[in-house]
Parts: sequence; structure tokens; C-alpha cells
Amino acid sequence: MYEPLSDDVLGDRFIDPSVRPGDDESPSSETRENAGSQTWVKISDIVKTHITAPFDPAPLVQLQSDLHHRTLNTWECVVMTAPDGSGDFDASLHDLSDPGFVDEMGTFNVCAVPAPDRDLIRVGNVFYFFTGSTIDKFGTIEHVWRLRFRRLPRWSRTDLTRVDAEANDLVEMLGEYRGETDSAAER
Amino acid sequence: MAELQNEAATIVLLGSFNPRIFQPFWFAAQDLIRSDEAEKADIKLIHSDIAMFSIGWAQLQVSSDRFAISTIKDHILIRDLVVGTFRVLEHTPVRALGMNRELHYALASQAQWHSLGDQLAPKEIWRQVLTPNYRPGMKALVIEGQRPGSSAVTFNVKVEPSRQVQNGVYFQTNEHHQASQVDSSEELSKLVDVLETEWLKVQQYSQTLAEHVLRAAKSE
Repeated sequence: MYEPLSDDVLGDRFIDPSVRPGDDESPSSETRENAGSQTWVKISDIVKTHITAPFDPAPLVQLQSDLHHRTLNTWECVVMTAPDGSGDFDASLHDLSDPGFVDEMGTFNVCAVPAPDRDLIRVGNVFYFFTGSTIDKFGTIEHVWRLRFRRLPRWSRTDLTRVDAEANDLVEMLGEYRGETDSAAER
Repeated sequence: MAELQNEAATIVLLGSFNPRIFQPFWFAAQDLIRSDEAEKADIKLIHSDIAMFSIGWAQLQVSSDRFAISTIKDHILIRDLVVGTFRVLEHTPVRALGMNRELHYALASQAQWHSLGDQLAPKEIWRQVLTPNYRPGMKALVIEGQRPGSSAVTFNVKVEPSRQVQNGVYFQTNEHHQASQVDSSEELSKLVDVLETEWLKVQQYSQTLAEHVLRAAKSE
């Protein structure tokens, strides 16, 4: 395999085709460095981008940084109890990395919650608990964890209509079920 | 053993968008991101034709026909942001959804790197017609298929040499979902539901697929 000549989304890139992989002093090494410092593409590149559905996988953003993030595990947690006097609250933990695992319970403290999220510590609210690592350009690995509350919008009119319809279906179903039970009771 | 070195995830929607709406403070006003994130957002451009900004854990670019959000951190967060955004903007005409992942793996040696390229794209046919003293090499390979159990139109995989990792291989996956009607909020709602339920599965599947290819090629 050789270095790609160009990227159809990020625009033209010059790479000397005579250079083979492993040639350290090659222009392709330089290109990699340049690519490393590039976080946003030029507007002109975006303007000339043509979307070719159905295969349109390439993001416009080139994501690179000095830090490599690796999320090792993600739990979706639901607040089960309000914080007590010491700030502890209980939550159920659902392992998103391996949904086969049985849900667990855990105790968190408000100190672990970012200040802007603390208003969201309410029973029933959902937050994510991430564990992972960051690796800097020198190869230093730092183990990290993050906690972040899920933010979803208020109910839209469509949501309300949909939920209303689902509730009506449920009421009808329960009504039928109750009717059957009543009938059975009479029998 | 190939080692995952770098990765990113991107959600792309194709349709008709008003880039001017997509500003950090709009997202904060809808309570989709924190207000401190909006204040600290790195705004590259907000214009009637395009909006580009970063909020630390995500980068967003919106043009009149494309909405794209990427992250190198916690993939589930961009899913929630997109789900929330298009539950608010429920009448946006959207015609397609792409769930994408990028993975850069480092191979143990340059020999393994060449071997993988040779196994994915055998060179025998090419050597017969190309200049013999210039060794033909694989620049890119695109495979189209479907993810088992998915309602998507296609699942596309692109394999290239990595530009970020020495002796590295780059996988780009894309699961493409198409709306049956463009101007229908019901269709947008369906695509958003697909995103909500399938996003993590697509992310996991992409990694499983890439690692399967690396293992299978290595064992031959």
C-alpha cells in the first residue's frame, strides 16, 4: 500500500508518487505533519465538495490533535435517589459497551458532577459515565473518567401527539384487557 | 497485533438546512449543550452559507445541504446532540442519514502493512500491465455491503493507508439510511429514531469489522 494521493473531500494534496512507504525523509512524512496541524478545511474546499449519495461517508472535519482519546467503557446511568446530606446519590448503571452485563447500582457524589450539570441531578435523569485514557504525543498514558448528564429537548408538538396516540392505544388495550378480566370474573 | 491508535465518529445528515441557526448559543438556549460550552465555543465561521464551530468534544459543520458533526471522544454525546437538535427542528427536510466511523490501526511492521495491502488487493493482475519496476500499491479499497440486521441502504467500508499512523491502516465506515420522502417530518422522525437506536451498534460493528479484516488478513 502507498500513501493516498488525495482525499476527495479535503481537497488536493500533493504527494510525490515516487515515494514509497518507509522513506522517512519523504514529502509524505511532511504531509503527515501538515495534516497533523490541520484541524479545519478551507472554505473553498468545502464549497467545491460534491455530495455523492449514497456513499457519503467522509466528514468535512479532519479530526486530529496531540491527544489521543480512548474511551474504554461507557455506562448509561439513571439517578435513583436525590443527593443526601453528604451529597451522595444512587444511580443504576447500564453498561453500553457490553449490554449483556447485568445492570448495577452505584453511589456517586455531587462533587463528581461538573458544576453546570448539578441542577440535573434529579431522580430519573440520565447521565453517562465514561472511563478511558488519553495518550499524549510523547506516549504518556493518563487514565481518565468523565461524567456528563444527558440533555434532550423539551417535548415537541409532534412528540406530544405521538405520545398521546400511544397513550390512547394503551388505554384501549387496557380497557379491552380489563373487560376480559371482568368477563372472566363474572364467569 | 494491530493496535487501535486513533478514531473518530461522525454523523452526517443530507437535506436542506439553514446554517445561520446552528450557533453555539442556539444549542445552549435549547439546553442541548451547557451554557459554558457555548461561551467557550471556538467559532470558525457563522454565515448564511455555512456554520463551523467546535465545542471541545464535538466539531460541527453545517452547509445548506449537509449537517455534519464529529467527535474523537465519547460517541454517544454527538448522537444525543443530533437527536435533540432534530427533535427541536422537527420540520427540517432531511433525505439521508450517514453514521460513520474512522479508525486508524498501527500494524506491527512494514512487512505486515504490505502484506495486508497485497491480501486486500492482489497485485498479480496489475503487474502484468503496469511498469514492472514500479511496484503497484493499494491506495484505497471500497466495499459496499450491509450490516446484518440493519434497515440501511448500504454499509460502506473504505480501507486506505493511514496518514496519521506509521505502518497504519485507516478504516472508514458509513451506514447510509435514506428517507423515502424528503419533505416529511415523519421521515425525519424515523431517521432520528434510527440514529437513536442504531448509533452504538454501528460504532461497535465498525470496530468489529475492521478488526475482523485485520485478523483474517494476518492469518492468511
